[in-house]
Amino acid sequence: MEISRRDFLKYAIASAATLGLSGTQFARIERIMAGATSPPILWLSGAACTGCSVSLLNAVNPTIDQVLLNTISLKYHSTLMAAAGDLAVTAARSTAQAGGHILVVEGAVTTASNGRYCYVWDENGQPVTIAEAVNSLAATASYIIAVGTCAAYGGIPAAYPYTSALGVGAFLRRPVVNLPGCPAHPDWIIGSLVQLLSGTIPALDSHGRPLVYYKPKVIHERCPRKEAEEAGHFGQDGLCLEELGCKGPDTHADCDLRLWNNRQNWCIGVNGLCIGCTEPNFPAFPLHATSEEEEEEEPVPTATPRPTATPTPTSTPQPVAPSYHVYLPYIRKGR
Amino acid sequence: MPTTITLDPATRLEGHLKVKVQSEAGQVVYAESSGMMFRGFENLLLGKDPRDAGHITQRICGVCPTNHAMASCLALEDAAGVTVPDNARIIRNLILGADFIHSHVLHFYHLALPSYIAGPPMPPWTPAYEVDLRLNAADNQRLIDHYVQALAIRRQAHEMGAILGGKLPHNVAYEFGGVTTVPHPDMITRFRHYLEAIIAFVDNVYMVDVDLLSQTYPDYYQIGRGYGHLLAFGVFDLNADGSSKLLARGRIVDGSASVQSVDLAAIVEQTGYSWYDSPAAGLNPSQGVTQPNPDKAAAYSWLKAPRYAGAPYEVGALARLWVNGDYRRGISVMDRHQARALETSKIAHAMHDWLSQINLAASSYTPYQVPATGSGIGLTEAPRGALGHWLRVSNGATAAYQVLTPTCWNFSPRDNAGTPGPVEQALLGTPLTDQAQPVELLRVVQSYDPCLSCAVH
Repeated sequence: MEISRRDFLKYAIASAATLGLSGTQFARIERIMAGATSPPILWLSGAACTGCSVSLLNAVNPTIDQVLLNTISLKYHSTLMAAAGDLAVTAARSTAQAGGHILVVEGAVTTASNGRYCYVWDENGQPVTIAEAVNSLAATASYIIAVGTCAAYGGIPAAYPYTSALGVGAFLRRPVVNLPGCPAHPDWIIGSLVQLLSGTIPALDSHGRPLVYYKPKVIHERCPRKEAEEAGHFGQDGLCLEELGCKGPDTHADCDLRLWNNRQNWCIGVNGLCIGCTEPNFPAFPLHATSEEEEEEEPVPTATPRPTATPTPTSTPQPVAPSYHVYLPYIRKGR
Repeated sequence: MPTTITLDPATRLEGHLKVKVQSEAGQVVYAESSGMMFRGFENLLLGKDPRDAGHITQRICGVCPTNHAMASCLALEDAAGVTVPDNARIIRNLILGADFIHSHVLHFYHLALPSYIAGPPMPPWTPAYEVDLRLNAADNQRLIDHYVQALAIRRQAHEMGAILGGKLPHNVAYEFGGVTTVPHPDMITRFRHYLEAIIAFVDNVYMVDVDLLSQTYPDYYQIGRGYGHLLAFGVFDLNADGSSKLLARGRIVDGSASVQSVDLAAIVEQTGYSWYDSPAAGLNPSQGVTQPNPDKAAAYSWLKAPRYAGAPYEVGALARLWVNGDYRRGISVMDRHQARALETSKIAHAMHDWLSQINLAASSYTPYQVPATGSGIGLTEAPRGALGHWLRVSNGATAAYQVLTPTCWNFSPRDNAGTPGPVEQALLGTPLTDQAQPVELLRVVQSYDPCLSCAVH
């Protein structure tokens, strides 16, 4: 329980390689940690399943108690915070007013019907939509992180066009750090947070994802089963799952290297499908291949953006990015 | 003159829940609970490969995903008329059991407990309501220490489940016809190693802490009863046809000791106060539709109102253990915590036996063709209560899909007749010491372990 900041740093430096960070970055963190207050984080949930929050709790190096007690100041997170109602809303608003916080969004931003498909809280007797909350809390944020595929690109909520669910970057028309995954891996979340706290922005790919975790080479290129015989059905060990629908050939994540849940396993490790959950087109139906013939006739699903409605934010932000799947290099906003 | 209290966000639960009550003379006299988000899972599955639903519906909820994979696979297997191998049934139970343990431990220590103790003096534990904190300093500190210890235990429950499920949340092993996993001795050894540490925590720490809390807050055995109608679909099949389960199917009327049968035809979902249009006053899930209408004037929730023979029913660990005859002390806030702890222990010990039942020489998967047409129902339990998926297949594609979740039962709005949902009823009479700090509302609401993203889906 009583872990000093110095203990945390030792711990974090030991896990630097795991998080894909350099010793220099941790030296910067150390200087920040020497300050009196931890950097404030506001974690907002939109059209979400809370799976990315649960995944964050699965962090190992460092563990979540070390992060919460020693690294960040989690001022708003509706599933973890003690406060409720007005007390919780005030905590979020006063943090945003001070500015300089990191805004983390989990879940998509629903924009149809003036955002009435998702309300986050009540303020002065009026329900506030996720769209309004993201707009206002982003205005004074130092950085914005979209955690999970829903927040990054719309994900599953956007697969049902009725609610016009958008990723945060598309909604704000502003570059954000995207950490897709369904859920996002805890290392991707904590590593990116730590890097941003150190004052440097991760190198991002064209979809706004940190290259250190979302590799230019797809999973299939490194897959230990790449050369193996093709599986004809599930329940067989060691075979390549491509003919069953595995999306490893289209997926730019490091799951094969990092593994999941304290390195206990990964999807392909139990002969399960990679369903391409870190990709902008997730969920790319069909997830299962139908039959061998049809597979050959049908082109491999490509990263075509699904049809989404034109974003209709309540207050129109400045258009920066021409479209949601194009990301400008991240620029830190001054306080 | 009653005063209105709006608790939004209601926190330390999954999803977007709003609770609005009126209080008079220090007691709740009227309550409304609202789910404040909608995504449209049932509709987005239409026209898709029915096998894809197992992966997609898990994403309804990241706290309790595995039960959706279970319900989805069972529904398609019901439609196809097939039974999975024993190994698949056992491995599914083990992954689901790991998810139950994660969820119950998370619920008690990290979601519910901060409504009774003073947490560490920093965010996210400050600011907090500062009323009715009864534990002495030593006990308070011990529970904080256990909060931290429970973070590790909860994480380890997921690590354990990932050994057989690939990863958690959102496992990949559940497929139509069985599981993808081929079990190896080292997997079983690692799983058992985790499980034994978890069992020690549950039996020696979790159960003891629930007792401490219930001794300190004995009045919460009298608060939050509700209607007393309890429903369980049952879970953890112990034989191939599911006729024997660790936790049985059944129904209880008004806290009775007599267990009634469950007739699925008696279930309807009504939408009189929900943001949906409906072609009929109430629809059985086999005929159900989901037509969102955020402009509906009378509505106040994205939850539908499920009713059994017209009555609201409570679901969850207490309902399961009551039906099973394992716990019948009472129906209240504290009884729900007691039942959840007892159930965690029961499941964890059963998992220890199931590990020994895996046959390393036998298959865990049988390939089957997806039926061209058919309909099926998958009934199981989420940690927070009874879960059902209703599926219809036409031309090999999903033609209808309806999901009936536990939190939809518990937190339903009023039905067409104006009858309040179970939690709306349970909140009535709850004492409020300080209207500006309505911690009592949180305690009642959290005792049901609400999962709003499931409830709205």
